[in-house]
Amino acid sequence: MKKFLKIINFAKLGVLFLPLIFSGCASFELETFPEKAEIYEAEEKIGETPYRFEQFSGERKFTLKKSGYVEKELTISSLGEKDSNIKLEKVKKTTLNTVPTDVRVIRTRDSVELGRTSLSLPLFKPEVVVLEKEGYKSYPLTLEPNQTYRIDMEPLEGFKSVYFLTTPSGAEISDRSVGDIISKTPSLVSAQEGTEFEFNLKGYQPSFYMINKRSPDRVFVELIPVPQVTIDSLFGAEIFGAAGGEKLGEVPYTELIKEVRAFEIRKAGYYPKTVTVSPESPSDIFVKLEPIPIKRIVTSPEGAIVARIGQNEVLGMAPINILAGSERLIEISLDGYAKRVIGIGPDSPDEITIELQPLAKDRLVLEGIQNATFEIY
Amino acid sequence: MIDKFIPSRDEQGIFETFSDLALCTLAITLVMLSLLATNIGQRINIQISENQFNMDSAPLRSYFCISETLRDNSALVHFLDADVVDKLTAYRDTLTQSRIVTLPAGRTMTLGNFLLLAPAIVPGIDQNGLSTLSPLTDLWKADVISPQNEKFKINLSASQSAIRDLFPIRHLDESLKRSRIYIESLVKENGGKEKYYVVIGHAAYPLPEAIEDGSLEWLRSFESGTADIYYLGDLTNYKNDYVNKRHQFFIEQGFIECAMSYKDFKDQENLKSKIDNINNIFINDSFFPLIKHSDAWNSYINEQLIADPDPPAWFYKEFLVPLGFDRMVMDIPEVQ
Repeated sequence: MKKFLKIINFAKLGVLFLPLIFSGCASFELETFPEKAEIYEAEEKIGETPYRFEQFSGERKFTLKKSGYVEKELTISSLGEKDSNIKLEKVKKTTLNTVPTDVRVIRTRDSVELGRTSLSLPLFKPEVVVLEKEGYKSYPLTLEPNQTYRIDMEPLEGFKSVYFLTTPSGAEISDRSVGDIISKTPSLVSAQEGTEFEFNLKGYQPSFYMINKRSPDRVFVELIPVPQVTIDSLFGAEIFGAAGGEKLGEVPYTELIKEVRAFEIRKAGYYPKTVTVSPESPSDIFVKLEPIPIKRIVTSPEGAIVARIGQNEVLGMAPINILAGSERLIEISLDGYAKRVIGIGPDSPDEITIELQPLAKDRLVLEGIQNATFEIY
Repeated sequence: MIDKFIPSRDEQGIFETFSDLALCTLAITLVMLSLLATNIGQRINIQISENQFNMDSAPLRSYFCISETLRDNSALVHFLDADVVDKLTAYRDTLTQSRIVTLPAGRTMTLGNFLLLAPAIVPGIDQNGLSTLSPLTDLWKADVISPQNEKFKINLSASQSAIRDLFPIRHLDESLKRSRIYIESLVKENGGKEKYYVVIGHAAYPLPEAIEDGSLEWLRSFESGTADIYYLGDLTNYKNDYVNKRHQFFIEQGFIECAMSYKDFKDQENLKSKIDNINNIFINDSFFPLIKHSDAWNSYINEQLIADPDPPAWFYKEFLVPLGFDRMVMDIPEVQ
């Protein structure tokens, strides 16, 4: 009986030491390529690869992180392989293309906009995102690192998707009522029926298209070039906006003419001239300027001061050449001579000689001298 | 029956209304009369100065200038109407033909005669603050043509220094606003008859001859609402020891040098002829004692003004009225 009890006790010890017996079989080794990847368990760093650990039962979940490599999640079971050799994948581009483009990509976990399609992102772990665009249904998507996606967005009901093409391409598409630039041609645009789009391209006249039920899937818009008009005149002439506008440049001056516009051409010594151009005007316009007549003022004797009336602005000393674009009065003065005011105009003779008369002296005529009937007191 | 003699109720109402109206009218009339009386009383309360006279005429400014002959530098003094000269000046730049300005004889006198009168003249300012007697400036240039066709030339610098030196205190002094001419009266015995004189500075003008022959015409240059004749008193009575009343004052008040100078001046022979030949001013060494000793003369004037004498009746009739200075001046200190 005692012997039997001894056997039972021995068996009990065997059960007790069974794990110890199997202890040599509970050792695990986790290796990565490249090495020294950080090992996290439940968001807590526990070590770096290569990593040895004992596991007698159950499963353990690890996350392997290494800069420049895609994060790797790993589950080790006590009954699984003892040696794990994991090759980490380098982070490359995750590409997301959509039809249409310009779709907002919003990260779900923190509602941050990652960008607008077409989009390339370096992802080191999967990201759950939502694709959003006005006129289209939202599209949830999990982006895996180093993958390429092409998503066709589904238009909302009452919206219509139209693929706009222009010649030449690259025209900005904008909602005419809002004014925001939506895209550039060629582009698939989904919009509510009745939305009017404007197509703008530098050098071309704006074109318009309104989406309706019967709009085809592809709309071709031919852009008409804006006419260019080059205004030329005498060398050195300047171009101004009409009616006192600012200086625009010098001739030859080229301008895109979308609508009727007026310009003023000015050059010293010439009458200013206004020219009106329209999209129908010829591409080259030469504006002939009429010279302002110059009158020569000569005085006798010479050296008289020629000024505007009131002598607020002295024009110079005679003999002097004066532009006579319109009728004007000038004052001629010289010490000791009577001041003269003359009018000159375009029709005056080219040379005007002014004879200055010496100033006359007044005369004080004494009728007599005071009688002096008095006595000295 | 009796009711016929008792006024009806309606008739009583009419009488009451009429009496009320009459009473009301009377009350308003009385109020108006009292207001009018108050107003008249206020007007009468304005004091009139009985020894200060002027003319009911617009303010007048004169330009003073001295012209000299090229021959012997004998000098003439002219009083020019400033308004006329200013207008002429305004068009001087465009003048190609001479304009002729005629100056009446009363506005021209010899320099000597002017210096006789100068001590009694005090220029003031007009309503624009301009001196009523300013020296002519070079803005107006004119040739002087005398009756004898003798060539005179305006001496602007002499004109300016004359005004500056003769009226040093009063020149551009705005405290004295009105021009003054100090005049005294004098009565002399002439063949048993009284002969009246007005004395201005060193000149005693016999009346009525001086008015009839135009000797006092120069006063026309001061015929202005802002120029006053101040009566300083009568010179007739003085103590026999003195030359005249002024001489008596100078001695009694200690202005001995002035008194001696004054006596010497009076005692000179051919005095008038000497005065006619004067062609300079020389204030500090003046020929005329009242100019040379201006302190004594000003003291004399102040003494007479304090005495505040009333002019004799003949002074009005023989002098003020014929010349037109027939308006007594209101005694308002701020416009003196």
